[in-house]
Amino acid sequence: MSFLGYLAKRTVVLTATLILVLLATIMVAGGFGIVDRVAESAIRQEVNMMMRANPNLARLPEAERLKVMETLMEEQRKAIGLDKPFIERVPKYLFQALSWDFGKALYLRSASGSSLVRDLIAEVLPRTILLFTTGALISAIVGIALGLLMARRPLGLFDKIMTAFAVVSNSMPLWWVGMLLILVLGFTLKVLPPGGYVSVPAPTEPVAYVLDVLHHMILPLIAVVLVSFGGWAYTVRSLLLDTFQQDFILVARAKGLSENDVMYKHALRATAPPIITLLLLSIVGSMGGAIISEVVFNWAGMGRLFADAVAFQDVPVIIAETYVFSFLYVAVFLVLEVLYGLLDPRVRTGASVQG
Amino acid sequence: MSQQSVLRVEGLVKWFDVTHGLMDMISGKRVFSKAVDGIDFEIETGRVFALAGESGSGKTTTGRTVLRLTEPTKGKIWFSDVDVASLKDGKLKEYRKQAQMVFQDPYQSLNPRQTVFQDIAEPFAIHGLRQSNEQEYDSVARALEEVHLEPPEEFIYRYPHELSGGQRQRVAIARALILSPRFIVADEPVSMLDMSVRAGILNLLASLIERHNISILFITHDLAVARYISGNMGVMYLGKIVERGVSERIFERPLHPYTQALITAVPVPDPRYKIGDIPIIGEISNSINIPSGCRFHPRCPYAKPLCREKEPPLRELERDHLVACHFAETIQPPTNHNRPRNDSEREDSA
Repeated sequence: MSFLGYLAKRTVVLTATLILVLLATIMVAGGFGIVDRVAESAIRQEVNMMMRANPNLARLPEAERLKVMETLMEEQRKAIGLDKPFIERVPKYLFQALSWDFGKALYLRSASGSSLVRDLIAEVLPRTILLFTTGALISAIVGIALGLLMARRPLGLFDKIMTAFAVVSNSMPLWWVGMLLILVLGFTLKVLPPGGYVSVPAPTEPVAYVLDVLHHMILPLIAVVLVSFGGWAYTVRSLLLDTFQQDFILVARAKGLSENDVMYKHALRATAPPIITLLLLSIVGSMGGAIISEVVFNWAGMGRLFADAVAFQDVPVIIAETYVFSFLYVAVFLVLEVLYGLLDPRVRTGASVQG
Repeated sequence: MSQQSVLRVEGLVKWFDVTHGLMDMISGKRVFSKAVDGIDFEIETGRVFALAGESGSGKTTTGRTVLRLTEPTKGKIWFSDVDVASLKDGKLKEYRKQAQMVFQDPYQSLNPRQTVFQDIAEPFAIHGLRQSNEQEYDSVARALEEVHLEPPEEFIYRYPHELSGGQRQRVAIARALILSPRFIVADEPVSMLDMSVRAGILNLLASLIERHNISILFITHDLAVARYISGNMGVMYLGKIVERGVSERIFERPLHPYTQALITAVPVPDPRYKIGDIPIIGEISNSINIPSGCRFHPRCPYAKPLCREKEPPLRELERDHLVACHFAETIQPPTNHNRPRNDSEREDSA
């Protein structure tokens, strides 16, 4: 099978995955009638307002008024398709979500007052990327560099210290480290702002605004990097040492390659696929933010939005966030397939991967 | 040293530090795995020296140490007039040009991400011998022809996973040959291959030795293969050579009980032939707790109290035939003169 054919097949499978995830989300979020009840009350409110605005209708006797109201509501229900059972409306919801039309949030509003789900997400996603994706990248870069150093002398002093550090730092929850840092740096030493992503009131000048955001970013960023770079270093070290056991590494040495070339030209290339997988997944994962930690740092990002949406049962927002993430993950998987093909000739030809 | 020899190993020792556990570390007690524990041998120019023995006897470690792929603990490795054991960076790289290795498992020893061409041509770049692309292509193609991967253009841009085991091993041999080395360590180069492919690879090696005047350290657990390919051989047991000499003679008249047992274990394709019975008991001991005295005594059917106390030296019992056994004279070796030969065993390998 050609590589392109293989990619085409993977694309179909991943798209199907995406649709299934979306379908499941819609069913879970909407299948218990909550969406319908919410929509029903919204219609009632709207019709009430319409009738009050119309003096002719307001003067009608009670019984007649109720009848008119019922007709108007029925019209509204028809207009948004609420007259049909939920299961028949699923394809419409599915299609809307697939075309990135998430409609309006039920309760949540963006800072600019918009109730469009798209605006809500567009507002918080950059914040999350700024903090968590930057953190993930820094952790990965620092971790890979340290992992390479550790693999140089396995069980040497540096390796042992880093291994111990990795175990300890990796088992500390981010929000807990965050609290400690806020306590020490934010309140005791008062060197960094203890929370938020910008001062209140925010600086009006663009340069000052950016600097202010960066200043607020330092503390959470330290926390994010601190808990994750040790794990990176240890993972990279283990992957490299595993590769070092292979005969072809011994062959590379026998050919006369320097230790540096053995490391970078042979070992690192063989270790690249799992490292790249981890890297891309951690970047995508970082875009989801962190629910508890965003609360601790008072950093209104994706995690906070999701937590709020769940708390208010704001179904369109829940569906939208889930869809955006599924989409990002699926996109990353496709990118990974292409990269694997570039890095490993065995994948390119669809041969079985052994040894 | 004689002009004839390419490589002479003197008192080679390789101990691995396997100290672990907190108590050992605190008390400063070191634990060593004595993989190679003082061996001597010599390889003549254009000849094959075989090292035979079971798994765990230290033969692979010997091969790797001789190439400085692992650092020797003690001893000298004379390559021409240079002690390889003490070589440093630049000089060591020079040695790598002259001494190559073929590994046991061709599925492991070829980098799955390199084409045949990249793999074989890489040493040019490493040793500053870059030529034009056409010249390098020609060199690699010639090397492929030499190992009978023909036509070479069909193989040169393939990846290892597109080749069979035998073809891979041929690529590995072509790679070892590309810089025209004087010496090659072949570590069980046929034991992972199908029977049908083995003879082809062995014949290829034999013809290359003749054509290029290469010397080979051939590591094998199969005494029939050792007899076929080598002029001289050494039999290793737990890091020591217990018997050394002309391969044919050792095979005809093994003096050490261990060698005798190994030889009687070689199957003979003749239903009328009754396999002799020299029992060796149990498994090879591990190289951390080496038995006192003669290392082989716990498994030896002829062991006497002396064997437990005193380690037998390697002594020349017959001309060019050395053995490390206190009682080599008294043990009646089974004569193998009447033993039928395998078809694959050649009359004279040298």
